[in-house]
Amino acid sequence: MAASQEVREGLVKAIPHLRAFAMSLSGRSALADDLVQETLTKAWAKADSYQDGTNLMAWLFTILRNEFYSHLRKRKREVEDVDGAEAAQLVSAPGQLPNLEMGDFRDALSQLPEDQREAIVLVGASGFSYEEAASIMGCAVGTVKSRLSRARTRLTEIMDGEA
Amino acid sequence: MTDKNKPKGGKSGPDAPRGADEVDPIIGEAVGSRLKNLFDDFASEAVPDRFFDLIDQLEKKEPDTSSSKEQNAPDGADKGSES
Repeated sequence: MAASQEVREGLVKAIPHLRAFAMSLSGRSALADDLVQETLTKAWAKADSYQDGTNLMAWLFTILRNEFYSHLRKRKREVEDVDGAEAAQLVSAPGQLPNLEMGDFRDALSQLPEDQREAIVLVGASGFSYEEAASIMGCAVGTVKSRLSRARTRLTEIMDGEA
Repeated sequence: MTDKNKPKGGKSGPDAPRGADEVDPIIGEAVGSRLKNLFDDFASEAVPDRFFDLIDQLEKKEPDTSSSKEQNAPDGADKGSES
């Protein structure tokens, strides 16, 4: 019971971060919120598998990124039929942009391969360590670093107008 | 900049080492600061009510921690001995 209470409080606190992570990954508000909803529901159902005192945020982020990838796999099959219509939507995310430059960066981010985007958001924006990011992504620490490095290179190129 | 051991109190200017907020060395300042701005921007959006409603709903359902079924013995009376 103590664990589920902790999970509940943790969930409420985590929502803004989960939404930001989901939006960074998917670039679409509607999908992002669906991912968050799915994450919260799964987290609650699995509250007993959460170990008291461990990193709740990392646990939640892991659930969310797994949701994201399973969504992508599903979508990929559909997109193959619809001829990229969905893929086009993925890039042109609607919403209020604070300014043009931020919109450009968001656009640049959406052009990265998912694994690089995920790595750079986890470490660069969500504040996870390399080790935590590796655990969330289910890969080696070295892989996290190489994804970060490639993401930086690619983003820099895009921002410098070589896109 | 490279002196990470230097204790910096409170103030976090754009150039100050900022602990957890510090720009990751692999990512670098140019990308890192934009990334953080974007993320913070997302994270500061108002949370739609649907999520609070969802949590309320979830809470009504028991999570799978059903190992501890309610052991209801509300009154301190000795129930074992029915007279």
